[in-house]
Amino acid sequence: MAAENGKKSNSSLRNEKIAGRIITDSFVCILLIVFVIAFLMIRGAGNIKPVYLINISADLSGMVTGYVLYICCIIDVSRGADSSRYYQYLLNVVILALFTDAVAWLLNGLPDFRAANIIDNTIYYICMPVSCFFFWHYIAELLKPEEKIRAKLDKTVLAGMIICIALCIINLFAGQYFTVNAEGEYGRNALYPIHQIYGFVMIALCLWLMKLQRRKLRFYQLIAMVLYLITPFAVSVMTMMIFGLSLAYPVLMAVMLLMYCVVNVSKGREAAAASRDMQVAAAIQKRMLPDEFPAFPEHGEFEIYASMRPAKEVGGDFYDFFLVDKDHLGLVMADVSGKGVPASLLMMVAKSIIKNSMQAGASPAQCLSQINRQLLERGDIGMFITVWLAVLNIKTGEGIAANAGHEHPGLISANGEALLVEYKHSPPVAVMEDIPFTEHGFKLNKGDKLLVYTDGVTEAMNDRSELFGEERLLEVLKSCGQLDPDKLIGEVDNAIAVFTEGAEQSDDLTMLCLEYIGG
Amino acid sequence: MSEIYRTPEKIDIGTNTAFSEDLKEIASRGIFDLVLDMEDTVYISSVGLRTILAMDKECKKNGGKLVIKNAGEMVNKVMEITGFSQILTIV
Repeated sequence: MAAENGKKSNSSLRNEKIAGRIITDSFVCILLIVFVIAFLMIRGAGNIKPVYLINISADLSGMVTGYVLYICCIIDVSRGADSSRYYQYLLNVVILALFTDAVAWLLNGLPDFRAANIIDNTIYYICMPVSCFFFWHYIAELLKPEEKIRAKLDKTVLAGMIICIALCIINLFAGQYFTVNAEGEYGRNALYPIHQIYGFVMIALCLWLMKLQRRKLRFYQLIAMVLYLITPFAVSVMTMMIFGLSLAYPVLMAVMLLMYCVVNVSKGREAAAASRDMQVAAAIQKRMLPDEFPAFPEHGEFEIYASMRPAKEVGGDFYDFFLVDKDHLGLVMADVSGKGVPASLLMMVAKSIIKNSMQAGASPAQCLSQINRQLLERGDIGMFITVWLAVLNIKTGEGIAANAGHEHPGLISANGEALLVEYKHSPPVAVMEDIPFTEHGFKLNKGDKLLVYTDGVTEAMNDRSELFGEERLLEVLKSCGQLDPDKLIGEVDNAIAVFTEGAEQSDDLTMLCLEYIGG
Repeated sequence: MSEIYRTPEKIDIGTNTAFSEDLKEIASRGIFDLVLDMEDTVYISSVGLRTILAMDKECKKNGGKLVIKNAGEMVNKVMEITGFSQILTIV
């Protein structure tokens, strides 16, 4: 299947699609509501029986609730949350039922509108089996009964709905359910109860399925579903004494509102638990990073400073520095793909492996090979890490670095010149087994500074969707190159803050700066 | 059964969420033979590369393949420097 879109990219197309849906759906819904109100004004509220007026106003408020709920569902979907499509279909059917119910009460007793009355009531009748059909799919999707049972029942439910609809259409000619007489008065006929059989069977079927799979439902979900099933009958019984009062669908809409809230409340609880986990992960992650400065007061050969400003969500950035032996300093800057607890777990593992292997004497490229092998030896973990790491001889300023798909390091020479050191990288770590990692030598002169960072720096974004970028970073390095490492990092941080003007920080800002003073 | 997806003009932190959602949606339909037509893309940042690499892994894991075609000068240069060109299939 080759599906090629036009010149527009798929994501902007999708946003337009959602906006388009909201506009068309709003238009239809509001049109229906306005239609009922206009009709009511034309007929004059005084000419309609009070009990009918109660029905009509209940229908109207139900329609408004349904419309709001429907828009909420569409917005949920556009935000990436899932909303059951069957719930949305069900909403549409209930809105239609409310509309036809309101219209039926408005048309009742108008001989000129007899045909419209019949059609309207037929649609109203058809709404019942259709809503049962969607409710069945809604709860079947939620409860996931065995495939075989589901397939069989789906067919039966569909066949039942088709028969029901066919009977409603036959009623136009045979009048077995209802008729509208010459005065335009609606009246039920002897076979009306047959129409309800499908509904009863569906309720029994849904209750049976819920009993079978009740462990998959939370208590309050169960309550909402049972309410949905028994409401139409409870309401009918309660209003039996008052002729002409029909509130089943308006109450049903109220229950649908309850169902929506129940689903969202449980999602909200899960989100709260997840955010608590996230905070703990972020705290542990922060504690893993060396953050006491000056870090090596006994070593006058270099000065080092590093900082990580975490974004709201815990990410996988990390830096590290440690003495390999008395003459060699290990430096690490890395970024684990993805966010959240998985990324921070992998970050902690990666950090330990790198430090251990470097302190055991591995060169940067050997170290990358080792971590690559260790992370992949039990199969693909579906994440990867970009790493820059180096070993620096603090007596001579000579070093060896390896870059596995990470950002270009910045180099500021003692005379104030600054550049990003670009060369061909090795691929990121944990992507593929047995890939070669390359390393290269470099030499720092007295007064040179090295700045390594993660993409949170160059990709910091302002409200106009512009990126901070490498150019702006270089400008800061050029103008503030004479400052000490901690002040330099502070200046880059400031420049980013000024640039983003308070736009929400979407990624960790991690930087490490080393000044080589010489031995 | 391969599907062609046209990547947006810019893939950076601003557009990446939508881009990544789109790829996830394709994967959720069980399509793991994917061609990324990058003709329109003039800028790709490291987050964009990450998204592509993650999808590449997903495709391979499911016995499929992700192929990049019509990549422009900037995209090619970035792929080359970051070492991604050694992993991704670029035609």
